[in-house]
Amino acid sequence: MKRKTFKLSGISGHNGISIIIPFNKKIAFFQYIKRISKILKQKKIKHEFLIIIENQDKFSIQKELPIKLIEEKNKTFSRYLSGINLSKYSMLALVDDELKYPPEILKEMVKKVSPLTDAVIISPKKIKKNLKFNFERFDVVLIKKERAQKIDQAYFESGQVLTSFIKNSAEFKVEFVETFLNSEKKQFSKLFYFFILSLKSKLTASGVTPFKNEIIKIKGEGFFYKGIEFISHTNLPLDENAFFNFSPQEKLLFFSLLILIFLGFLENWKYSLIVLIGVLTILYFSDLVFSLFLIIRAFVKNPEIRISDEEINKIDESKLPIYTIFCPLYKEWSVLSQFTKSIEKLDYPKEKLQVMLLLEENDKKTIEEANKLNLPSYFRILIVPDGVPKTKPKALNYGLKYAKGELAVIYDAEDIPQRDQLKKAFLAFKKIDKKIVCIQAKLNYYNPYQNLLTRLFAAEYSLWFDLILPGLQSIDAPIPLGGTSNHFRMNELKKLKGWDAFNVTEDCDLGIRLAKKGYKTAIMDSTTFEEANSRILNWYRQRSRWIKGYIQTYLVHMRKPHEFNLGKNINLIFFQLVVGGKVLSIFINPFMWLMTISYFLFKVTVGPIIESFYPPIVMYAGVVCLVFGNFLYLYSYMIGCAKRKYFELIKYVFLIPFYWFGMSLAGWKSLYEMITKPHFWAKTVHGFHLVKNQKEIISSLATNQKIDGEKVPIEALSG
Amino acid sequence: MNNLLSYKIKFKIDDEIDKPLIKKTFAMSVFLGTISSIFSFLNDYILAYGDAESHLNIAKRVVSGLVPGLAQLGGVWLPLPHILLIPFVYFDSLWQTGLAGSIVSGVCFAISAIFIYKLTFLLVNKHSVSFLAAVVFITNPNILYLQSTPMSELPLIAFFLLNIYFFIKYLKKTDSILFLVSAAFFGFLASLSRYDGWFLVIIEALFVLILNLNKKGGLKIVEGNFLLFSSLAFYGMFLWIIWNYIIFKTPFYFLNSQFSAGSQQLAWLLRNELPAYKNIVLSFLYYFVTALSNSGIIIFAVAIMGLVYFLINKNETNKFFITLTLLSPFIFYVISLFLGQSVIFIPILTPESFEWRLFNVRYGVMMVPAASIFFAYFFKDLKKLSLIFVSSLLVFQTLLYVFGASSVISLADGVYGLSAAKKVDAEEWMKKNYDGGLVLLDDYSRTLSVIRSNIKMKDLIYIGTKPYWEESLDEPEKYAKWIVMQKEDEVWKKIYDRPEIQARLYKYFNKVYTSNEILIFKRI
Repeated sequence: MKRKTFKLSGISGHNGISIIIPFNKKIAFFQYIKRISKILKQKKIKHEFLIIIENQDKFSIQKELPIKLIEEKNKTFSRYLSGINLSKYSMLALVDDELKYPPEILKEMVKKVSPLTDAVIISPKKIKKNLKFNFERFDVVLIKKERAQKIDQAYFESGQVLTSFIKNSAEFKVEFVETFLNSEKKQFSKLFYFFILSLKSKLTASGVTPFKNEIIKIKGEGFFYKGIEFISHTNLPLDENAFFNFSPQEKLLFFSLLILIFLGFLENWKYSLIVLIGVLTILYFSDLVFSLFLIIRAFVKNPEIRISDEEINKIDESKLPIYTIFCPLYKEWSVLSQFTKSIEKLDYPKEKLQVMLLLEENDKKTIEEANKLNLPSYFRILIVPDGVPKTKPKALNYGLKYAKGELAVIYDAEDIPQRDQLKKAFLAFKKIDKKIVCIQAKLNYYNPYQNLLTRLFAAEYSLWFDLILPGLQSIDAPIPLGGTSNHFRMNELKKLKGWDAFNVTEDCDLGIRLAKKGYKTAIMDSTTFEEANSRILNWYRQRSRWIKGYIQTYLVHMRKPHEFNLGKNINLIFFQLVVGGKVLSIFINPFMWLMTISYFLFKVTVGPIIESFYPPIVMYAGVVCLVFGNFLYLYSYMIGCAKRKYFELIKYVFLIPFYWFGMSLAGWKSLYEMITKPHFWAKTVHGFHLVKNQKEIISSLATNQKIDGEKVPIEALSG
Repeated sequence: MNNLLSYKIKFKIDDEIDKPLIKKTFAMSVFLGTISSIFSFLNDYILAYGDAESHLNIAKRVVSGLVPGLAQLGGVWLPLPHILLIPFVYFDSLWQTGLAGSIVSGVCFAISAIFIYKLTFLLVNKHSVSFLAAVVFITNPNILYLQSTPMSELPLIAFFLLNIYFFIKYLKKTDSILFLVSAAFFGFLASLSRYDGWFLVIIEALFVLILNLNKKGGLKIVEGNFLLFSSLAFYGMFLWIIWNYIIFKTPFYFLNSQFSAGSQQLAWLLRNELPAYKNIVLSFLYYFVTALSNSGIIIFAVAIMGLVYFLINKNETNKFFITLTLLSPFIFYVISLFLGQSVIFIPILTPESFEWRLFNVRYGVMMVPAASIFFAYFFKDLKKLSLIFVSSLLVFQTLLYVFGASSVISLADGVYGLSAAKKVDAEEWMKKNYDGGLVLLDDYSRTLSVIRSNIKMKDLIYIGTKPYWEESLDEPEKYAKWIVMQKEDEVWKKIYDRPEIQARLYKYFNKVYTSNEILIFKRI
């Protein structure tokens, strides 16, 4: 193969340029250097990149570029010295890692180079004083290698010091680039141009390099990003997962919307506020009507799949398929023995069970405890290799590779499924439409009466799983799955590419994804009992993760809203109400409550101001939401409790507004986390209920008796 | 899709219903209801009751007026019948003719007829008997008249029957949340229609408590069912009390204000014309006779036999609860007569010395549903319902009405009883001479009919149009072009009886109409 050579041109007297640049984790870094390379190639200038990095382990080399990595622990400006010494060309370009200037500036600078030129720097000469850009700084400097090597090390204290020295030293022949500084107008147009270029670069460049096949074989599916290795164990495309919060289009839309609102407020703040309140009120009103509709549908249609005992008794066990049970665990050794016992109790031929305990490599304690348990042969401990991200869906994807069942289900470690659940799911799958690839068993708690928090939590679950989800099923709407007890047809699950390893509510995401692909979810009349979070901070962490996951899910699926057409057109609207609306209301609620309370407490002073923001129609819709909406939401919890036969919990529903307030607080935390650590999985600690009555629960599993006069629901144990 | 449907267990409320007979019931109710409304319209009976126009006006003010809005719903009469009227009174023609009321009451009438059928079927499990109950209800002339008016009785009867239908279903299946919640919901609507509804939901809540006491699960079941029912069923009462507090600064305005029933009955008491007050026997008798008069004597007599038959029938379950629920209006009115919270004048019982001997007899129509059901129940065990016998009873009852032996007493009260709208010459005068502009009028005293005077609602200054009302009483000329006052009404007291304001009145206005009671002024 003929090697391509560069003719020297425009930079005569030099054999090429070595570009020395510290690595920056910005998304556009590689795009940036690619563009430099492209410009220099166009100019037929030989070049190399000397990239100063801190840790070579986390860096992937872009092979198509002439890159040398220089590992340098020194974070000060003097780190450039290593690059200068290792460079092979006679002209150096020292580039600031802030990437403030577009790569095109180098083209301008190269033009200024003559055999006599020692350095080219950006001229600050014509900057207007009233402009607040600091050009007295180091950004990009072109300098001869031989001159650079002679500069006293002391001048490498900072970029500004170096620039100032070069500019003021009589020994240097310095050229200045006055790019885009000729006039204020031109300056702005250039700045705008570069801003757009930079924005475009950031919007279009993902900076993600997928693993090559050789790496996939060793480590599993994943990619490099900013030099970091991410392993997801799924080839779910980047635009279908939550690795990036926003797609470029979403960013553009989001910022446009913000700008629009901002401009609206600048133009006429009162009118804008009225419009904003009007829109929010309409959304609330729609949500109210939709919730009422779902509750009525849940009652009238009663769509849950019901399997009778008689049908179960008729099953020929020899014809039952292999059932894979995934159980991802992380630091949950305390509930491990409870889980194994509840699985042992399942009414399903054990030789047809494949139970996978998915443990994290770094979770030594749980691995140790699991090994001690002397597990039955149908249990398998799978160690998920350590890596980023460390999430439940990643572990599930890992397990999926080893799954051999025709059907599969996910249980959390603290789960107690009803004994006949697997058989029910098997029969249900046999009966129903092939388009239904997932059956969600209902979830509820075995410790609802532990304290006030668990009571309210149980009320919420009763509403969700006994009313809302059946209501959604009755209209064939996308169903955000619950975290556990989702039963799948294995083939379809694999076709769906498993779970999104970056979404912290992978269950919700999968439920929506399968609807987008034209599949359906159904609810089955069988319950898995879990442990309700009994500690406020633990609940708060879990709830903020859920809300964060819902936001992620919303953003992921709104990247391609047209895909909802594959299911049903109206699914897009249902998705807005079920996922988008719920999340939005969590953020808006506190403001609405504050406004309502202020209105009634300070009616004389504040009342007229608030009233002025509500035109009559909006006011009436708002009043309906306030008077009937809040009542409906509260009352629906009561109905949920009654349906679940948690009669004692009904009186606690009057305290639900405080629970809503807690949800809003968690919502704001989730928003903060979306920005700071979107993929962080706030692990919910389980096993608090065991501290008090572990023995009773475990023994009750065997005897189907009530615990301590309290109400571990008997059906939890008997199936 | 068929596969999908195969596992769905459809909830069918109407499994037990014979659809052709239901359709006949519906068709018959619509046909007779329409005929009745046309009759009332042609004879000017739709707005015969003074209250009829007030109901329409309250609804109209929400959407049209100097200060429209929900606050116009006021705080004494419960709001739901007025809210139901709003979409119709929006149109001036439906408001002025009263047909808005005929539409709402007519729809409620048809719903009531259907649920009389369904409710009876729950008790007797026979389509023919259920249809008979519906026929008795549909052909009742008092009901037929009231269903052509804007009065609030028919909306209440509809919600009352819906509530009882689901409540009886719940009695038969006490673990059904759907029936309990549905009963609570319609109880909620009934409690926002008339105060009778309050009594209904309160006794039902008590029944829920008692019923669940025997259940396994102890007090938790009792408490849970009670809260599930009462949270929704009592929510209407709660809202009304809050509403009264927000609008009138007192939570029990509806009970204590000058416009409340209690305050009005006090005036009768002062005249010593409140015969049933603190007299339980008379209270019972007054309502008994009123219920009998509205139901028709033959129907009522057979219904009593039917009730006795129901109570002694050993096969019936929950007899006590069902009877008390159906008879709850009876108990409610007896108690309110006894407490002086309401008054009924009916010729048979009211002394001749009283100024008025016919008033509020329409309260008796609340017993027509129970009378229809128990009338039909009496025939439930006949192997073959004797069409000739039953028909002759109905025909005989009809003949009593036709030949005047039984009067259509609710209509009579509206035409010549104290409930009748007062028609004054001033209305005619205004109709001819009113040429636009704002009219100051004490509407509560019903000085004259806004509708018959052809005044637009948006041109009216009345007590609900603050600040126009207060300012006009001090500076009559500020807004009004016309001032209408009646002796002792608020306008008279605040303008005519205050010399300095009267002087102002004559400075800016000419007196253009004078009668013994009413003066009309027009701005110069």
